This record gives sequence, C-alpha cells and structure tokens, in this order.
Amino acid sequence: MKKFSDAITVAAFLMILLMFALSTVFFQNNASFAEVYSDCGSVSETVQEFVRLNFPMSSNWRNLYASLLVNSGRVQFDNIYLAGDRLVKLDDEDRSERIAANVEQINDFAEGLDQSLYIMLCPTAAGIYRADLPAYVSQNDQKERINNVYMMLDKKIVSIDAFYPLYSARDEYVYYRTEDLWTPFGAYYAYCESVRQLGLKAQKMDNYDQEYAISSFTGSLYSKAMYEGIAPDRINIFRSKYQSPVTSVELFDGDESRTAESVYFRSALKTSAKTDVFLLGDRYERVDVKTDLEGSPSLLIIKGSYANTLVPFYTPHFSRITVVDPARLKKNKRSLSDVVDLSEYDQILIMFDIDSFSKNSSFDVL
Amino acid sequence: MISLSFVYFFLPVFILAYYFTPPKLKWVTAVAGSVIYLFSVEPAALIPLTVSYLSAYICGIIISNSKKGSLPAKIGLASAVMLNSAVYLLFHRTAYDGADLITSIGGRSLFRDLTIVGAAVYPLNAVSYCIDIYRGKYKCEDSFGIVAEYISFLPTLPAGPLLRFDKLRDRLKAPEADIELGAKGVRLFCLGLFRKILLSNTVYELWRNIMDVPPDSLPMITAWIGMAAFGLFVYFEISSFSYMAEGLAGLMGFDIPSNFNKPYAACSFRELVKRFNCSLFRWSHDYIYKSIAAPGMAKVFKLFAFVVTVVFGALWYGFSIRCYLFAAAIVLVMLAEKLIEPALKKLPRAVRRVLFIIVLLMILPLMAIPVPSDASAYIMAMLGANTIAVDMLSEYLIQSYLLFIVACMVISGGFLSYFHKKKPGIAEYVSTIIQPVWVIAIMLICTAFIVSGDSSVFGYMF
Repeated sequence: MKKFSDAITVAAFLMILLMFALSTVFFQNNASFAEVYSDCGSVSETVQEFVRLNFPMSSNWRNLYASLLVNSGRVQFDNIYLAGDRLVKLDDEDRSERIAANVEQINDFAEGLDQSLYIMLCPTAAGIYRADLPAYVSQNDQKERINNVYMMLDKKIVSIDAFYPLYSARDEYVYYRTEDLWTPFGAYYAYCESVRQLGLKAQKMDNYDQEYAISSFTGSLYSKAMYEGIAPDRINIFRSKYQSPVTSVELFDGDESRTAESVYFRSALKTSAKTDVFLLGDRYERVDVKTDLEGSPSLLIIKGSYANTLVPFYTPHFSRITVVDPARLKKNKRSLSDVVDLSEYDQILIMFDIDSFSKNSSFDVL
Repeated sequence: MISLSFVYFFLPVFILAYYFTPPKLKWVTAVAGSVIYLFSVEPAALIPLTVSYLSAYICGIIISNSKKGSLPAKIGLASAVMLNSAVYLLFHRTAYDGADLITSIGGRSLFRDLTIVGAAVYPLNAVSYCIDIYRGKYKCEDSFGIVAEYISFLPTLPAGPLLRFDKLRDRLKAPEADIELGAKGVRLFCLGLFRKILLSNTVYELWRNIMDVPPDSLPMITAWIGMAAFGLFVYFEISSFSYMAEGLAGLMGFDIPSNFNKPYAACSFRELVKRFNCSLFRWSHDYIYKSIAAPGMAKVFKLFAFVVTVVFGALWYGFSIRCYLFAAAIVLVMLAEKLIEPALKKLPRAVRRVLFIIVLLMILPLMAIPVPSDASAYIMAMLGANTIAVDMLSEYLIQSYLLFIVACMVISGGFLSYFHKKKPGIAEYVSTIIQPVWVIAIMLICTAFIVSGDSSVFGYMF
C-alpha cells in the first residue's frame, strides 16, 4: 500500500510539472519567445519572462492567491486595500513638492486669464471610504489635502468642493468597487455642486433614464488584486429624457482625429477598458463637444481621468465644451495654446482627482 | 529554485533525464545539471566552480598518493585549502547581506554585479574532501566525474546542507532510483517550497514593514514582533532550501541528513548552534575547531579555536559588519552561558527556553539591521526606550499576520513533532492514502504564490 502511494506521489508530481511545462510551451500564445527575447536581451531572462507570460491558468492562480491571503487576514495587495465590500487604491506618498509646483503653475496660468478659472479636486474612494481602511493607513486625509491645495491657490481661482457631496452620498453607488474611478452617480453629485458654482442650475436626477451599459464589469483594481470576493461593477449611462443637445464630438491626438455624434463610445464596452465608454477615456489630447445650444456659454476643461464621466452632465448647459488632457499634450510635446484659443471660452475648469493632481507633472503646458 | 522556470521546466527535465541515464553515466547528467543551473544564473560562476573541481581532484590525488604528513601531502592540502578559500572569500556573497569580503574591509568588490550561486557550498565541499583524505579517512576518488558530482551536488547548491564525501560515495558510484526515497523527496521538496513561499516570504514581508519604521519611534511590542519575524525568516529561509535540497536529493536517490533539528526548541545557544544548520556546525567543528584545537592543548587555544569557529559560522551568512557584530555577540553570550551554566541547569527547561529566546531576540537586531547605531536604537526600542508600547501599526500587523506568526512558531518550535510521535496506526494508514493529495495541494498553492506574488519583494538569504 505504501509503495503504491509513494509511486502515485512521485508520478503525480512529475506529471503535473510536465503538464504545465508542455502547456506553457505549446498551448499558450500570450507571447512568443522571439518577442520576449527582443525585450529582455539575455536568454536566461527571456526564459523566465516567457514562462511567466505563458504560464497556463494565470487568472485562476491569482484568484487562489488572493483568496488565501484574504482568508488569512490580509487586506492589502501592494497599494490596493480591501475596504469593506470594495477595493481601494491608496496613494500615501508625500508629494508636497510636486503639489507646490503644480499650484504655482496654475496660479501663473490664472494670472493671464480674463475669464473665470474654476478648480475642482475630487476625492478618490480612499478618501471617502477612509473609515473602512486599516487604522494605520487611514491617516491620509484627502479632505485636508484638497483644502490645503485650495488654500495655496490664488484668490481669483474659484475652488469647488466635491468632497462633501460625495461623502454625503457615500452609501450610494458613487465609486466603482473594482476600478479607481467614480461612477456616473458620483460624477452626478460633483456635477450638481460644480454647475452651481459655475452659475447654472443642475438637471434633476429625474430628468435622466439610467441605462445599464454593462452589468458585470471588473476594473483595473480587480485585475491587480484578483480577489473574487468583490462583486463586479456595472456601468450606467445617464440618458436625458429629453433630446440630447450634442451635435458633434471631435477627438484629436497629435495628427490623429475622429468624429462622433455622442459622448458615449459603446465600442469601448467590448474592450478591457470599459470605462472608456465616456469620451474614450484618456486616449485623446483634446475633445470638442458641440451642442445646439447656441448662445449658451462655452467651457474649457483641463482634465484628469475623473472628468470623462462628468462631461456628459455638462452638455445641457454649454454650447461648446472642450476637454484638454495636459498629460497627453505634454506627451505630444504641445502646449495648451497650440490646441485651443483661450479667448473662445467663457469659463475654464480644472478638474482632477486629488491623487492624479498630486502626481501630475504636466501643468507646465498651460 | 523559486521560479516557475526552475520548478516547472528545469526540475522535471533534470529528474527525468537523471532517471533515464544509465547508472554509469548518471554523474554526467548530475554535473551537467549543476553547470547549466549555475550558468543560467551567472555564466561567470563556472570559473570558481572549475577551480574547485580541479583543485579538489588534483590535490586529492597528490595527498592520497603521498605519505601521510609528508611535504607533498602538506603542499597538496595547503593548495586545496588556499584555492578554495580564495573562491569562498572572493565569490561568496549572500543575497540578504550583499557584501563580500573585499567590500566588508572597505575595498572595491571585484565581482559586485555577479550572483554566484553555490559559492558558499562547493569550495567547502572541496576543502572537506581534501582534509578528509589528508587525515586518512578515505582514499581519493579516481573518477573526476564522481568528485565533480560531489563538489557541486545540485540539490545543495543554493544554501547547503554541507555534505561529506564518504557518506555519499557509495550512492554516487552506484546510483539507484528508490521509489520510497523519491516519494519522501517529493514531500520534502513541496514542504520546502511551502516554507519558502508562504512562511519565509510572509514573515520577511512583516519584518520589512517594521524595518521601514525609524527605530527611535518604534513601539516596544512592534519591535519585538519585528525581531520575532526576522528570526523566523532566517530559520524558514535556510530550512526551506535545506528541505528542497533533501527533496531533490531524494528524487535523485540520495538520502541526505536533515539540516535542522527544531532550533527554536533549544534552551541554550550551545544547543542552538548544534540544531540550526547542523551541517555547517559539523563542518566548522571538524575542519576549523579540530584543526586549531588539538586534544591536550591549553585552554586559551581552545578558546581561540572556539572564537574562530563561531566567527566562521556567522560569516557564512554574509561578510558585512552586521555579521561580525552578531558573531561577537554570540561568542560573548556563549561564554556567559558557560560561566553561569551550573545556575542555569537548576532552572526548569521551560524557563531556560524562554530566557534563551529573549536573549536571542535581543541580539538579533545586530544581524538584522545593517547600521550598528540603528541596531542599538532598535534594541533600546525593544527595551521600551521609546515609551510607546503599541500603536495602530502593531495592531494592524498582529491582525494581518497573526495566523502566519502562530503557524511559524508552531513549526519552528517543533510542536508538530508531538503529533508524529502520537500517530496511531490508523492515522499512518490514512496519511499513506492521502499523501499524493496533500502533496499536490501544496504544490498547487505554491504555484499560485509563485505565479501571483511579486517576486521582486521576496526576501532571499542566499
């Protein structure tokens, strides 16, 4: 009996090893050896990387790994934390120098403007659900960080408080559970507050029909943590019950451009970046949204990723909304004046989440 | 050994090639396996390896063919010892410590960017082979292949254990697959992998979290948790590689002795050095202590031999200042232990064990922390100098790592052996049946960790 068990043990062990080895080499096509070799250079590193990329059942292994860690009491996956029923990305690095530089560049930008400049720094889920994070990491107070930035800004820049409306609505579905972004619900609350500051009246929630664009979506936080204990997200599209005023959407990036008729890009729902359904995410340096509301003011938004979900809510108020991504401008070696004429806009809004703002190094393009 | 390419490619290919090689040529497969493994990590590793191969083989023949104590024998022995000492001192650099001898004495490392796996093992194998021949323990081996297979015995290359030629000689000359030994090998390999990936890496991660806190603001409880984590890391790190070595050797048909004997169940430092990395202790005792302190020598020579032996043992883990300090602390503690031995012996074993653990944890910061002033600040924090006992970080770490810490303490304290001793017949029967199941389960769990874990944060002692 013992001999039989021993034989089975040795055979099973070697069979499993061989099975995975053969599967890696012959049945997975994630990356070819030649491709990996061109990136790595040495044969030894290439072998390691090739095996890592082609090892079978990668997502299953990662699920098992995350479940084992969580069941043993762990709530941290690198910089992603399990906070209640959601995953939260925490950025607790001290970036005071970067923030000071950004503030200085924005103040310089404001100095040369004739029109009003607004700024809205919104919290991320880590700021709103701070109480659900482990005690020792929850020292990071985003409200305080946002207020500190507002205090440092020139008095002529109007700051918009997005923290309070989002915190008040924290029991609603305002942030995705598996993605480091707010949902259209979160964006709606920030829209209400911001549009009031811009001197306009927000549309009521009743004016929208909510369409479930996708009901089972797992975002980038899930892809990193691979913990299956988190319920998938859904992406809602807020459709006005009345006719959409949008007449054209033009997107530009370098020499590339494309035109659309809507601010929603359903093709993105078929890709891995599903939240790009809003303005195609951060793929373009400039997006021009034109509406049939002639005579209404025009708005320039200098944005981070969070603004993509917000822009559709602004369309009933402006004749033209131009969205500019300074990070892409910098990447394309352009400045703001290369892509827009500031005198064409009645109002300018800088809109970022506090984490992206703190590490953004592209405000020199303004 | 802890990579997908080693476990899922090199290992099965090597084992199957070894099985299917005719017995007379198995040494070729074994030596080729070692050479390929070392070459894949660092091609330059073949230079010191070749020096060890040739010096052991040629000097072994010279010593063996000369009269005992004659000049040629002495020259042969001195050459082997010097050449292999040079290999050891120049190329041995632990991953945790990062310093070799030259950098530790303020020079510029000749081989800073090279990772020479096995430089802590094969020169020592070569030295022990030549000294044993000189002492007349056995005759030299005529076959270069057999000597080379022993010197660079693949399973032991990463971190030992250090083996003796006479214990392996018969098996090296007449290799034979043994299914019982093979199954034991699979069990030990999987357990070694489990210890490294789940236990060693996790306690290292805990230690890293605590190490990030400046010692002058470290709460007392956190400081003790940190040192317990470091102590467990060192144990699980080296024992895991020893388990894997035993396992791989078992799969090749070799039954090599266990390198650890419940070290943290010891009651004194004398007991600890015999239980922790036993093969290193035996090697140091036989080839360093015995070479210096001959029977009937004055006590001062014996003390000198003792100090040299302990320092050698500590420096095996690295050459930086922290290892020297730790060696000095061990020497002092062992001398103090000797002085108060009669009083200690009157205490119950449990009390002695607690005292031993407390003293060990108090001197471990010298090994754990690279800067001596930080180490002393850490020791002060353990003594409560920072006036904080516990903070939110301690609570979080206890909550997050409690299960792992308890598991590590139970295993390292030897408490699991209680169940082995009490194992009734029916349990043995059941364990035989479920053996393949738990072995595969452990293998799959380890695979999940290797695939998913960020290997860049793995802590490596060697």
